[in-house]
Amino acid sequence: MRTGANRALLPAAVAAACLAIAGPVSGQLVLGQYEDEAPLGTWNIFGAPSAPSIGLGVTFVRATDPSISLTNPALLTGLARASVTLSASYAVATLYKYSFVNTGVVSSDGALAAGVLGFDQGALAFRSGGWAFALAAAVPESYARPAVLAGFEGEGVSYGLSLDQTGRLRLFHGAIARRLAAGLSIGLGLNCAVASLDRSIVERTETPARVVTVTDNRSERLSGLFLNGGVSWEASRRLTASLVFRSPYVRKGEGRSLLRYEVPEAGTDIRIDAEAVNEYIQPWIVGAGCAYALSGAWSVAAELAWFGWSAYEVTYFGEPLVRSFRNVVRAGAGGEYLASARMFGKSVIIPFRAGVVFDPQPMREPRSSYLALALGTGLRLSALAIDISGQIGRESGSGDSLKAAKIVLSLRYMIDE
Amino acid sequence: MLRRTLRLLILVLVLAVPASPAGEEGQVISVSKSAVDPARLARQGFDLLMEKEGRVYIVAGPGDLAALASGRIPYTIEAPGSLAAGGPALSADGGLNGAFHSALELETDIRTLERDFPGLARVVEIGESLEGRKIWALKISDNASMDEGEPAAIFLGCHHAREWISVEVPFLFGKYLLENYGLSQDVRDLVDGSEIWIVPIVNPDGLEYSIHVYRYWRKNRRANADGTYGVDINRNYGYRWGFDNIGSSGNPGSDLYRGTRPFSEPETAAVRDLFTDHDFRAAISFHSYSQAIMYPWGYTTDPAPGDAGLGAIAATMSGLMAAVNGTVYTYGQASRLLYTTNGDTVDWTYGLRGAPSFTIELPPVDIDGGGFFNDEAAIGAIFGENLPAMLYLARYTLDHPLPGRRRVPLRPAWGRDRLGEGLRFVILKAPVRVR
Repeated sequence: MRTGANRALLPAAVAAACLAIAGPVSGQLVLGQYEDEAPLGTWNIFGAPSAPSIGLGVTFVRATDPSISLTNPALLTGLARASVTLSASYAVATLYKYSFVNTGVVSSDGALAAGVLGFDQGALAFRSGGWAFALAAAVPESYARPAVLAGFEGEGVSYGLSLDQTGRLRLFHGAIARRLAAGLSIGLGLNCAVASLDRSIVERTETPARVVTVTDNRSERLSGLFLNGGVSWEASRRLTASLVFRSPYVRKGEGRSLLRYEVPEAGTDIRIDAEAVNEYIQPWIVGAGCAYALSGAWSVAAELAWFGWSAYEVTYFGEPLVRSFRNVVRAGAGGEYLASARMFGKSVIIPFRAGVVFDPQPMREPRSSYLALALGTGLRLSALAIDISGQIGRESGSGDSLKAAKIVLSLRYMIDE
Repeated sequence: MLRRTLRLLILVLVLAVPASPAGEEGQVISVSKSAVDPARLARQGFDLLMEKEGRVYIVAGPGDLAALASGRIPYTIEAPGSLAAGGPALSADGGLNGAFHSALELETDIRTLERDFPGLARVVEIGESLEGRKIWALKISDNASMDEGEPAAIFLGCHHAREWISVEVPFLFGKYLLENYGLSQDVRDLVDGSEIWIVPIVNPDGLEYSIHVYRYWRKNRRANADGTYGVDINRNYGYRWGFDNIGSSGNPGSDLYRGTRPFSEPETAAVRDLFTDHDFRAAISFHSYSQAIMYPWGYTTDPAPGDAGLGAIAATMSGLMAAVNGTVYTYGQASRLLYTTNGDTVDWTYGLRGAPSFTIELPPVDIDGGGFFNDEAAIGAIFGENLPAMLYLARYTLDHPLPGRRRVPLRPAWGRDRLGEGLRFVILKAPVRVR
């Protein structure tokens, strides 16, 4: 390494140390007992940011790859003539009260962690003249919960109680953007959301005389369409400001439930089957932010995103569920330093990013919010870049000191920049 | 042949539309021909429909049912589930809990009854649960919106969240009374002369948790100081509350946790306030499972004052119930029949004013039969076999004033109606307590 790389060593070491210390980050964003549909990590999910955005703590004011289309398609006009990105992540969140855990049935000594490893998003974008187009697929939300298997055995009785919940939201996205005069760009995206959620609770009591099994299985298959869009304005070579929105929409689809009581030895098999159309009315998201280049190497970005959770409504198996939510504003800000270096005889750029995110949750009681630290780095060769970022958050308000963490690895390839 | 066909047609019509004029004196039942002489039944005034396959079909009112029971003649309600068929549609026909009611479905259905039977039914909010759900009572009486001070009976359900069938039986009782008021003189006499109070869900928070989160949840949703949840609200009443640690528990994590003090829970306080505001002379608190009728005391194995009388009522109710579908409900003093309980509902109602009070543990009899689970299709049958017992106890209140109380003579008073349309003459009957 030469001089530039040496300059990069210290921040890189700090970033690596922070990521290592972070471990499984916590952050139960599910504080109530009844919110099986809450995404793991946070309620406030907008798009599926790639590693550079995660490292900066912002989601829609800086365009480094086509994934920006999921939040602010207007910024597609600033990308390379063609670019593609792919991201995967490992997210961990701790939860204390969820389903029957620590709500009266089984208790744990502390918060329990659920980890999700998987594909985050893949996106590609093309730019031609003043027009830009993007296609993307993403998995922005997971509904996984820490699995539970509780029980005991003795005195001729074997008892077990298990909980298993999985689920995810997938987005399929297309967008178009246009560069206008005076540094203005606008973009609009169409999104198809497809969600699945499966939950199974099984309670089994075995004695020499009989085996009693109680099964409570539920599944949902939901979908919905929504728009997202943005306006960006390059006020100067240094300053870019953005306004974004996501339209409200309804995730709607089939819910199935089977509650079953079985005692085979007695010939007892009682079933309650249910089918219904479930609905989750998702709220508006509106955001504003800006990015500012301090110099060729240094830049900063900040944004505010308003989530209209007070309009969130759930109809679940024919009944409205109470969700006492408030509107919240998530704030994020961060800075980036681009270090130049030579590696293996080639010129490379090593970015160092840091950010903070204040992420209040919508539940009215208890008031709860996450304060997260974000760090990121990477390596950019001419057209190929690899980025890795981590975000660790700690919750306050619930009294359970929940934590959440996410490490994202992104690859991007740019053609004819 | 033509006659047989006509009779069969009549039977089909009556079964399909039980609230139609063809069934105006009640419901269709059947008895084994080997147990009765049809000609004798006809002479006794029974409304015989037909004989078919060794059974005699009868359109029977409550008085007929009692007569059959007193003669130890078993009968079967042929269409217990259709008792509601002529009335408003139930909202509890789907959802996670199937044909059982959630708190919201119950509110919808009792408000529908109130709307469909104005003057006879009134929905009363008696309190609010910890999580802010309303606790509803359905008052059934002539002039239901007025406090006439008539003798009252109360039927309570769902103290324990997982006992879903305990919601259905009292609710269907209210529905039965309203739908049969115009059809049965016995029901009319009962409703005109008394107040029937029905609280199908005492513990709405627990019920919702049982539906949405964990089916076997029992208590309410109190967040206890030690991080556990729930108070057993059937251990939270004030009579001999916390008498020992066998009939209830001081451990918040226990399913039998009695709370921090008597009536610490808004759910029990709501029942207390309702009970103390009205002239209740009898009470049934429905639970499941075991198929048993239990009377005070629960807190001790010593017999309660009036033990013999309580036992006689329980025996009569058990006989009436067995005569319907052959389902045997054992009966006895609670502490001797199952286990000791302190701070429960019926010890309090009996201890407070000596009102004959019973806990009825609904079917099944054991966990082999389902435990806290009941088949949706069994709701009608379980209600049907409890109906004569509920009618019997409700009617008992009319004929047996409590010691220390007496029927209050009518006294005229002047009042203004709520619409302000002018003065009108109303009859007020205020309860008078004899000290």
